[in-house]
Order: sequence, then structure tokens, then C-alpha cells
Amino acid sequence: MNKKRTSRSVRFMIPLVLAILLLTGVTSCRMLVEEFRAFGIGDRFVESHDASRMAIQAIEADTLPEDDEYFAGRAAAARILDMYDVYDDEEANRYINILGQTLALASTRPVIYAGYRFLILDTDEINGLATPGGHIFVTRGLLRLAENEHEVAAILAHEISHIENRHGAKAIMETKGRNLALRAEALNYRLAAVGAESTILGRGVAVLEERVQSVTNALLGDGYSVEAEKEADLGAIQILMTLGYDPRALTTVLNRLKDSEKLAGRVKEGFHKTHPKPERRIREIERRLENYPGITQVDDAAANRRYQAALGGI
Amino acid sequence: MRKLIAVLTVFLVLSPIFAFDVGDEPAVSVREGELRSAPGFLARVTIRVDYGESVKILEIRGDWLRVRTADSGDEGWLHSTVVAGKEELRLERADGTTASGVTSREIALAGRGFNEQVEAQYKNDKGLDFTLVDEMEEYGRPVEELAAFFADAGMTVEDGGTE
Repeated sequence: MNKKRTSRSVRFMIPLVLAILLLTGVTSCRMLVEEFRAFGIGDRFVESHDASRMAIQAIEADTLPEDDEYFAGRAAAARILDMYDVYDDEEANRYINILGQTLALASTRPVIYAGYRFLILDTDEINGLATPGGHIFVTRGLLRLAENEHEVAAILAHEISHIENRHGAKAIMETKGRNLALRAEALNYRLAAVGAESTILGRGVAVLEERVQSVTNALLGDGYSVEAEKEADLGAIQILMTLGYDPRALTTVLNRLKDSEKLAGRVKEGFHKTHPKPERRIREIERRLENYPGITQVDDAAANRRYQAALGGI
Repeated sequence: MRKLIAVLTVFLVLSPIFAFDVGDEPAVSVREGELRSAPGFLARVTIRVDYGESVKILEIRGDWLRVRTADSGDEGWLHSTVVAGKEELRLERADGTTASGVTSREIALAGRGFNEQVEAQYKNDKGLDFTLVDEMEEYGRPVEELAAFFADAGMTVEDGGTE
């Protein structure tokens, strides 16, 4: 009996340890340095121990430094604002900023490089977009799916959770092979900037451009993965519950989204194109909220007053 | 064997997580770190600390760090997600030292891979207008406003208190 238990736990531990080794990059350091060299990292950096360490750190970190995320996000935001008009309503934009910034405080990344900022886009299209720099865009079409503050909070919390989970930064880091070359370029650029050499501006711009492309592809083209959307839904639930909002508001909004899809005859644009089917997301959220006691902390009368004042006419 | 695996697992699981200790001197990793009068987001902001500036950790309470800034010597509370090890911020030279004769702020600025200069060039190349992005970034709401928003709907937040 005892023996059997031991062997089972060892069998369980071995893959776990291997997975951890793989995740922390311990097994692949040397290989990565070689690959880096192939992509043109200067030999003097590769050969020095500390530079190798830096190279490994840069590539091992599955994400970008905060300021890199911010500048890639800013440029992606500029591209988005080039395509859409801003909904010119000071009161409405102010409201979603207060609500959104409050919600962000309940996330696992309450503070990011330049903070979370929200803006309404003037279009009937149903879409929500979050850049890695903390710029969150929601369209009038999306906000019309909400009928109270809980539901607006659910929409914003989902977008915040994309940022808390660094989905934008991951999109940048995920374009595998080409990505390695890009990371080498980025590292080369950084090393040049830290060292005495003059800044290689063109190289920096090239890297930034590729990054912006990755982000906008994910936001406006293919969307994030089904897994990332699920992660953002679950993150949103957590944020809502922490502040005392009703997490079931997220399924309410998704149900209305489902109906709007039916009406639109499943036109694959905007949100419908970049997000997985609402049915699937609703099922997942409901499963997660099976034991939710249904107690909210928000004074609905007060929340409804301010919601109506700001977004009643959206 | 089993013990070794267990120890190894614990070590590997814990090692990538960056935890701070009292006495550590990390650097601010956001554009403007907000030093607060108490450990809570709704506490008054007493001073802002620039990206790259060193702070010394005097006390740790949950996710909050009481710190003293290297440059001005001001003390206050920073959220732990606002700072990072200098290595993480690439503030160190490739040989592991910080460059001599320059301030930590100069190194910080040099180490920033993607800065206003790169953005200006990108903007120029692409003919993109950042005016609306700049306007959007002005929408930061002051702490007092967020606190009032909370109070208005009877919401409370589990925090270290406001002052």
C-alpha cells in the first residue's frame, strides 16, 4: 500500500519537475544563446558571461518590460484612433474612467506603467480593445449591451483582465521563429542604448513597428486565443466579486451579445470576429459561478443613478 | 530521491518569484511611482517618484512597502508591483555593475529601450497622429474621486486604511 503510494507520487513528481525545468528555461540556456548568436547578437556580448545572462533573461522572461509594453500600446492606440472616431461625450468618458480605474485597483496588476485609461469609440460595431499600454477602448455598440453599472463593470473588467494577464505582450512574444529574431533585435537595441554606443534609432523603430503589428493583429484581426478570452472572463469575475459587483452581469452581457449575433446573421466583424462564441464563454462562466452566493455589495440605486446620468443615452 | 525532488521542486517553483526583503533597494518600474501616506490605494499621494529611481525598503505590510527614496530621502508607502529589481529593469551594465559617474536616472533613461525618441521617429515614418492618445492619457482620475465613487455606492475596499 505504502509502496504503491510512493511510486505514484514519484511518477507524478517527475513530469512536474521536468515541466518546471522547462518553464524556467534551465535546460535551454545554452541553446538559446547559440540561437541568439545566429540572429546577430554581437559576439562580445554572447561571449561574456553577464551578457549571456542578460540575453537569457530577456528571452526567458515571457513578457516585456513595462515601458516596452507601454510604448507598443501607445502606438497601437494611435492606430486604433486612426480607424475609429471618439465618442465625444465628456461625462460618459469620465464615468467609464472612474469605474474602470476603480475596477483595475481590484486586479492583480493594480498599477501599470502609465495607468489604465478608457475611451468610448463612436461606432455601432460591438468591440472592446485593450492595448498592453493600458489603453482600453469600448465601442458604443458594446456599451449598449449593458443596462446597468454591474454590466458596464463586467465589460470593462474583461478588458482590464486582458492587460492584467499581459495578453498583448504575449501576442508580441508569441510569433515564434520570427519572434526570436525580433527579441534579438530588441536586445541588441537595448545593449546599444545601455552601452556607450549611440542609439540605433532605426533599429528601435523597426522593433517597435513589429510589436505594434503583433498587437493590432491580435486586437483587430485574429483576436486573442480562446484560452486568453477564458482567462480574461475568469479574471473579470474575480475583479467584480472583489469590489462587490455581481459577476453574473458578465453572462447577461454575453447573452445579449449572442442575441445580437443572431440578429446580425452572424456577421463576422468586430467583437464577433475577435472573440470566441458567447455560448461557450457563458457555459464556462456559469460553471465557475455555480456556488456563487449572489450577494452584492453595491447600492444599486446610487449605482443606477450615476450609470443613467453618464451612459443612459449611449 | 523523493526528498531531493521535493526540495528541487520547491526551489524551482519559488525562485522565479521576485520577493522583496527589508533593506532591499529596488527601482521604480512605472513612469511615476506614487508614494502614499498609508498602505492603501485610497491613501493620499505625498510625492511622485520617477521611473528608475532607487528606493530602500524599510517595512513590508502585505503588498505594500514602506520605502525611503534614494534621491530626496522622502518616506512613504509604495505598492509592491510598482518596483522591480534593477536587473529586471535592465538598469545594470552587461558586466553586472552600474555605470560609474552617472546617476541612476541617467542609466534608467538610457536603458529604456523604447522611448519618446523612438516613438517620434515611428510617428514620423508612419504619419500617425498621437494627439488623441495623449488626450486619452489625461483621463487619470484623482484618488479622491475614486474614493468618492466608492463611498457613493456604499462600497468598501480591503485596504491598509486611508491614513
